[in-house]
Amino acid sequence: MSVTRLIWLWWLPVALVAVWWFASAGTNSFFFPPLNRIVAVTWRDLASGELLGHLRVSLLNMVAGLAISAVIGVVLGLIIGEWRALREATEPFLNFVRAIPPAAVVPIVIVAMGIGPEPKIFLIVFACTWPILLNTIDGVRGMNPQMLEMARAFRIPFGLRNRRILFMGALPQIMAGLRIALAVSLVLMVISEFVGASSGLGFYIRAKKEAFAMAEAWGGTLLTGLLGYLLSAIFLRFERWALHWHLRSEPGKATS
Amino acid sequence: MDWAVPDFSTLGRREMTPLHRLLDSTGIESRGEGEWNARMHEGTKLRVWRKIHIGIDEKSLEVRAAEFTTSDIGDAPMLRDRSAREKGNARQQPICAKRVGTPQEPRRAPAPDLGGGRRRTSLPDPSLHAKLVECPSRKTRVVWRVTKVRQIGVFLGVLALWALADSLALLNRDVIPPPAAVLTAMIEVFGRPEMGPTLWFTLRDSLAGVAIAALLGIPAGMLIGIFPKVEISTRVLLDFGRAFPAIALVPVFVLVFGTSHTSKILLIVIACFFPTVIQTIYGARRLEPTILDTVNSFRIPPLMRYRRVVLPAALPYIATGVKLSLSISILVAVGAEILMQVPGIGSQINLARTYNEVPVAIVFTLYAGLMGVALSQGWDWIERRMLAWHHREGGL
Repeated sequence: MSVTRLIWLWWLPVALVAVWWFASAGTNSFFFPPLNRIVAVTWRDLASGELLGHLRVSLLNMVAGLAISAVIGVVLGLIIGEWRALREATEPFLNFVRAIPPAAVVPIVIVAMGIGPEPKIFLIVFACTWPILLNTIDGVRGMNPQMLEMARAFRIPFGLRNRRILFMGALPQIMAGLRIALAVSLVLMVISEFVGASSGLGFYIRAKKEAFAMAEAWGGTLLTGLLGYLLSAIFLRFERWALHWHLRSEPGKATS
Repeated sequence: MDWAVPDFSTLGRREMTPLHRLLDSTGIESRGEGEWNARMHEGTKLRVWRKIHIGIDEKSLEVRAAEFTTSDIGDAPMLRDRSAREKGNARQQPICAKRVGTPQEPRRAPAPDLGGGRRRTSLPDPSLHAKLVECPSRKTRVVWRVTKVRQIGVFLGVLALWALADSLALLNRDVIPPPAAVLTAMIEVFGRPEMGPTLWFTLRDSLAGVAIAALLGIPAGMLIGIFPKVEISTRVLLDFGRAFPAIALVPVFVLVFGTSHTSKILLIVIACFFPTVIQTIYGARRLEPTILDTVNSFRIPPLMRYRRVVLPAALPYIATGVKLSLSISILVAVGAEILMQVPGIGSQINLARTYNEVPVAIVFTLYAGLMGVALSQGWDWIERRMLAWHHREGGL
């Protein structure tokens, strides 16, 4: 990556942050505290370990939820995707369930299951399974049927065929589903911690808001955004690594 | 095999049973954009093949069925499809796959997540698997009906499982109440006076948010899509905005704007802005080189060019962006209503929860889901009318 390209990529974000920094430098506004104070208090809480602890709790819930929903979504998706009658029969049902706003279930689940990590993981699984499941189904359906015919012609063993042909063939779509699920899990993580939690990033923001500590609340919110950005950047790297064979073999599809 | 090539008038004659059929695929050469691209710009031809599968009566050599597909579809699945669609106990013959292809521009992967419109080509879009011959037989209708019955069966099966689990006391009734209670609550809530305003507030704020996001996002997306410098400058900001969970702003917004409809609409706007922009960018970029060259050679002035050429070409993508926004808006609206206690479906869910009316809470959740489905179906309908020219010309 050349230097000019880097400059082109970053000049506007840097300029905007600079404008915000200097424009807000001297204000006494309660609602929009100066950016340097937001950064300072966030750094203070990060250094003291308070915010790091919350981050760890949130991230653990997210990873656990994502992992569970990935297993459920991929396994069910491979089965439903391959079995045509089942796929056609379940299609309207899945489309309806997907449209249910997961945020709406949050209060019910939190009240019923308490404020520990279980309801949060449950909620993340509830919300993230659908995008993974539907994308896996699409991935299996969109596969070149000649590959499966070939597998049958060569009498490739069932397990090997499922792992190396069916799963790998659907992998690009599965990755797309996971990418959506990542964003969804972040949203659910935040909401569930707003509603009922004693730790986590959402809890931090809410507690600071209730203490009218505006700078901390802004800091937590911005940190959540940063976390989302970092996670999606990391996931993109992971996706490139996992799909490098695919990107290489189909240059036309590699761009997006 | 040396059969006489059937002319097109023999296509689609009524069929007689029983019949033997031969299935073969062949093609007609046609010139796609790849050829043009190669001639004009010495680029690659980007060849892909299209197949025409033709089913032939073994005795009369009549063409019984024909199907137009992309090159990756073998004869076997076509045979299966046709035999599922046709009546009669036709015995299938071995297949000879002779392939003459039609070089054509390949369909590149369209917009990322949910696809969207495709580029227009003068050739029939292969994605339609254009049916040259369509004889809806009794069997087709039966297959369709079986699918419908199965689909309803899935819903009923889930209900039955739910009832069974409930009667075996496997479920915690504080989370999942018995289905009968939910079904009665479904009808019962319509008797409540707050029902109308509740649905209306959620619907109105969602639509307002989507509309504002579209008004801001479409021009922004066009600008970014047209000028590469703008695109590279805003890329980091867009990536950040796309990954940002808008709902995390709720506590801050509650303090700054109060628990009002304004906060809610603002949240929806923020959440819907980015998908709209990103889809518009994809759309603005997808102008066909043929059209661009035509526009250049006619020296069409820039303003007219953007209004009459680039914008219409981007419209299918913009429509996809709006559709995405519509489903996002309901999710954000309900989330905001739950967290901020702004009137709407979400606040009713909260209230029902406080009064320990779990069935009612579930019912409102289901209605929110239905509203999302209805909005996206409604948008599909509007899109079909507004973009009728696009669909007519073989888009999607």
